[in-house]
Amino acid sequence: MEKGKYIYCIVGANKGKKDLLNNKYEFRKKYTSPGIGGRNDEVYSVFYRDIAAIISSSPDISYSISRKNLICHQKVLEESMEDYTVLPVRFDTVAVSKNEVYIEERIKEEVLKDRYEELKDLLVKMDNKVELGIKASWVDMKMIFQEIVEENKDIKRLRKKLFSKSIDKPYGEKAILGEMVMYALKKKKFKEEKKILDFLNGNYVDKRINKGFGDKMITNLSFLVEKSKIEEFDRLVDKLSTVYKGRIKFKYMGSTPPINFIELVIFLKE
Amino acid sequence: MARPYKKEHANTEIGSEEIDIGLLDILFPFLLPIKGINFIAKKLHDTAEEELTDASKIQGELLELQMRYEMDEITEEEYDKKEKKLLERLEAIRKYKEKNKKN
Repeated sequence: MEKGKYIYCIVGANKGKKDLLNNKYEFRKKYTSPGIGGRNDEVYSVFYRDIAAIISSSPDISYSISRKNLICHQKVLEESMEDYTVLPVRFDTVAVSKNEVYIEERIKEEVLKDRYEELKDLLVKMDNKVELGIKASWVDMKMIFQEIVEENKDIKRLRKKLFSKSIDKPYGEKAILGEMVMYALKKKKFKEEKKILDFLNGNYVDKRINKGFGDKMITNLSFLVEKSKIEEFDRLVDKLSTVYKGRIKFKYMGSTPPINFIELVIFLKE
Repeated sequence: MARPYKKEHANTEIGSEEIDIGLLDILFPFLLPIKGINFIAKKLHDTAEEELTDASKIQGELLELQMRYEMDEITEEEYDKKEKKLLERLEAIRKYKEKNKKN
């Protein structure tokens, strides 16, 4: 029977924390979070020198991106983050081999040892940094669409023209108006997003603009922030929230491991 | 430093708007046909076959659903219900592909 290991992340010693380089016992930390899949598999580490892969046993299956699975994956990452610098591995990574003990050796050899330099380099880059997320959406869409109509003469004119005629007019102009408004909405989102980014500028190391959805959501941002700057970042987001009260609703998430900045892809050799 | 994992701000309103007011509802409060156009175009695009095999589309829908839940646009109950349906569709696709592989 084939045996597999689900791989959550690669971890390394955190600067300023206890030196874990020669302390194998510390690296064998017991996790309180259960492994993914609801089988109560133990989460543990396989180490090579001063880095380790955090894994749990798993059959050779694919994990759907259900909230339950995602939370399970994330919990292990967050628990790892308490003690180590974390490099997230792509969700649903299962390494499979014919023998369970053998697979641990392969992860050690083919991932930790063979990619040691690359992983160490990434660990240095991510050391003492966390990810913070901001999702912003408009509170009152009616107000936003009214603004769009007021701000764009062409839209205002075409809309007036269409409304003055009877309903059974060709769809062409209506479709054009729809497209014009969509474009204006996109531009408006971009403007608001820029204001948010400018306000936070200088307080993060890197940023990602993630996919959003629907008309309401203005932006979905992830920031890589130095641990020493978290409090300042909190303060700025609070201020943003106050300034835009009634107009923009903010969801502030964090701290999480840098899942939107690092996604290690791991393949074992055939 | 204790810091909440999920921080909500004072102006965060939970479940304030059950119905998402869309662009077309406001622009065309009574002109429904434009919605019809979109719908037909969409239908032409999504053939039954595509829908049955396009797992990435459903995964996208799952992620969107999670975002909507995070933004308090849907309740946990609604989320669970929709997630269940999407996961069932994913499972159906997996089985369909497996069957096709064997044939």
